[in-house]
This record gives sequence, structure tokens and C-alpha cells, in this order.
Amino acid sequence: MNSDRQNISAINDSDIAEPLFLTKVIRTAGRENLRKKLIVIGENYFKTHEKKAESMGNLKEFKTKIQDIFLFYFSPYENLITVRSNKAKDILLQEAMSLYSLKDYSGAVKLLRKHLVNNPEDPLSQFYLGISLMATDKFDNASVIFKRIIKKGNPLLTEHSKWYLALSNLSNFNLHEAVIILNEISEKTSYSRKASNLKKKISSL
Amino acid sequence: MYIFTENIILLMKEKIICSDSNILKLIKSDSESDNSEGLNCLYSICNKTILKFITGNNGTADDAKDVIQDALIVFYEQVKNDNLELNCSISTYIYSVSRNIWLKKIKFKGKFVNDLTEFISIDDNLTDGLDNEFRDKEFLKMFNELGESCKEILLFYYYDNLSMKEIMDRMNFKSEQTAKNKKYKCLNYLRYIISKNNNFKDHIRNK
Repeated sequence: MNSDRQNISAINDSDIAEPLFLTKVIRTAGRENLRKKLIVIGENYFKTHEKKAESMGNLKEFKTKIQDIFLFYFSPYENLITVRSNKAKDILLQEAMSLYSLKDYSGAVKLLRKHLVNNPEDPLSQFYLGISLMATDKFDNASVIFKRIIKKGNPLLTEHSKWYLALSNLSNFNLHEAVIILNEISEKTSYSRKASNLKKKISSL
Repeated sequence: MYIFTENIILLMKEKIICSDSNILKLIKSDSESDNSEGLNCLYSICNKTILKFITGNNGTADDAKDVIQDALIVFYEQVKNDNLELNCSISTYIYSVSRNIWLKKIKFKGKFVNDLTEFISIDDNLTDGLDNEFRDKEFLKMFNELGESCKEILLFYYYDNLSMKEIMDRMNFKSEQTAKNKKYKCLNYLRYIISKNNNFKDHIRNK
């Protein structure tokens, strides 16, 4: 069996002895067969490739639409923290919120994190940290913070946090999650109309 | 909405299936579907660079398709015959074979454009004989005088290097011995067909 097969690999074009003719003929036929398979594979490859390119084009368009919607609805919540004391623990917060007001959100993130080390349960600081993180495109981290605030059921911040959590999910392409959260926003809040409009926009994608 | 996720998953799947070690397994395998999957992988990993190279060096997209086919044929045969000594990635190897084929075709002596920095030198013997239209036509004519089952068994055994057991299963023979006997008969018949073609042999002798 092996000596038969060895003839296939010992092919020399200048050799015209009959046994090698035999193997050359078989090899030619084998190549022709393989070539036909490769033509089909090539055609399928190009068809699939075109479809992929088309849907990658659609993907870009889709991403742009999501980004546009996000930019339309996202706006950092105004700074409502008034720090009147000169205590050390409050100076850090004061500086953080100054940076926040100046739209230096990455600076605000650093200082708010430092402030929260010693004041871990301060919900307002957590809230503004969440927004600063969103403004610096750290949506996963922001989501964690808003979920924590919502879980604690803070009466002042829950509805606001739901809104921003929905937007974080939107920006991360978690559209299903975003819609669930928007559905949970109470009709009695100022966010209810915006939430309803945003839901409609997501559904139309 | 979720179509793009499907494509990302497909791309990741392709990366896992089309690793070099997996491609070698798929081509070496006796299974037809494995071989096809292996060939698909080869196409997807080498098509772009070879297309760019050929079209950048006086070739057309159709030339590139032909060269890719020839290069994959060389690779397939090397793997099936256990002759492949791979000291680089499969894509580098196939690129190098394609480069060699194209160099011969256009008899180019200058510097290529769109040439990858990484390629290996390929033995000319490997790519000799890929392009002899006259001889191929005559050989195919002789081979096609065989019946379908003879053609199949000879290709399965001598070209695809399948085991007798696999051939027995694919062609529904009662036993491996039956398959062996059939192979022997078909080979003899092919010998007879070739021996009839004296004119052709004389022509080759005189070329």
C-alpha cells in the first residue's frame, strides 16, 4: 500500500516511464477535483465576505445612531452640592465639585473617589461620581454606582439614578436592559416624558 | 438589532476553528466535511494578502484566484502526503508558495510591491507542473475514460490518502478486501487506458 502511494510524491516531470505516468494522471485528476472544490469555496467566501462587510457597515451606522441618541439625552446633572464648611473632609468634596462645575469630569472622578474613601455612604457624592464616570465614558463603573443607589432606595436620588443608569446601558448597547429600566421610571417624575420618548427611539432602531 | 452580535460571534468562532493546529488536523482528517472546513479556513486566512500582492504586481483578481487555488493545492498535497515541514505560520507558508507561483508566471526579476516582509523560500519543484494545460487536458481525458466508482476510489486512495476502511465506508463496500480488489482492478484499467495512448506518450517524449 505504501509503495503505491509513494509514487504520488516521487513525481518528476521529465520522467515518462509508465508507472509514473499512472500516478501523474491520478494526481492531475485529483488536482482538478480539488480545484473545483476550491472554486466553490472561493465563491462562497466572497458571498459571505460581502454580507459581512454589509452588516459591518450596518453595524457602524447602528453604533452612530446609538451615540447620537445618547448625546441628545445625556446631560450631567447640575451641581447642587453646597459646601459651606472649612473642615478637611469637606474641602475635598468642594474641590471635586468645582472641577465638576468646570466640566473637568476626570478630575472630579479622582477627587470624588478620594472623598468617598472616608465617606463611603455619602449618596450625593456617589451620584455625582456616577455622572462624572459617564462623562468620561466609563459606563460600566457608572452603572455599578447607580445600581447601588437604587438598591438603597434613596428617595431623592433613585429616579435620577434610574434615568442615568438607562442612559449608561444605552451607551453600552444594552438596549434591552435600558428599556427595562426606563419602564421602571415613575410616571410622577420629571423623567417620565423623556423616558417614554427614549423608549420609542430605541424601539424604532 | 442583534445581527451585528451574530457577526462578532461568527468572527470569534472563525478565529478558534482556523488556528494553524486545527487547520492541519482538519486537512489530515479522513472526513470530507473536515477537509472542507480546513479548506474554508485556508481561504479565509490567506485570501486578502495574496489578492493584494497579485493585484499590486501586474495581476488581476482572477489571476489571484488561480494562484490561491494552486497554492492551496500544493499545501493540501504536502499535508496529505506527510511532506509538510512547517517552520512558520500556515498563512506565511501559503503566501510564500503563492509568491513563488506568481514569480514563475510573470518571470519577474525586479522588486515586488505589497510584498510581505515575512516569507520563506520555496523549493521550485513544489510548484513545478502546476501549469501545463496541454498535458492536463490529455491526462484528464484518459482518467475520465474510467467509470465513476473507479475514479472515486483511485482519487480517494492515491490523492486524498484515505485509509481502506474509510474508502469502504464511503463507497459502501462489504469489506476492506473488496475495496482493495476494486482499487487494483481500477488501477489496471487505467494502466490499460494509458498504454493505448501511444501517440500521447510519443508526443511527450519528443517535447
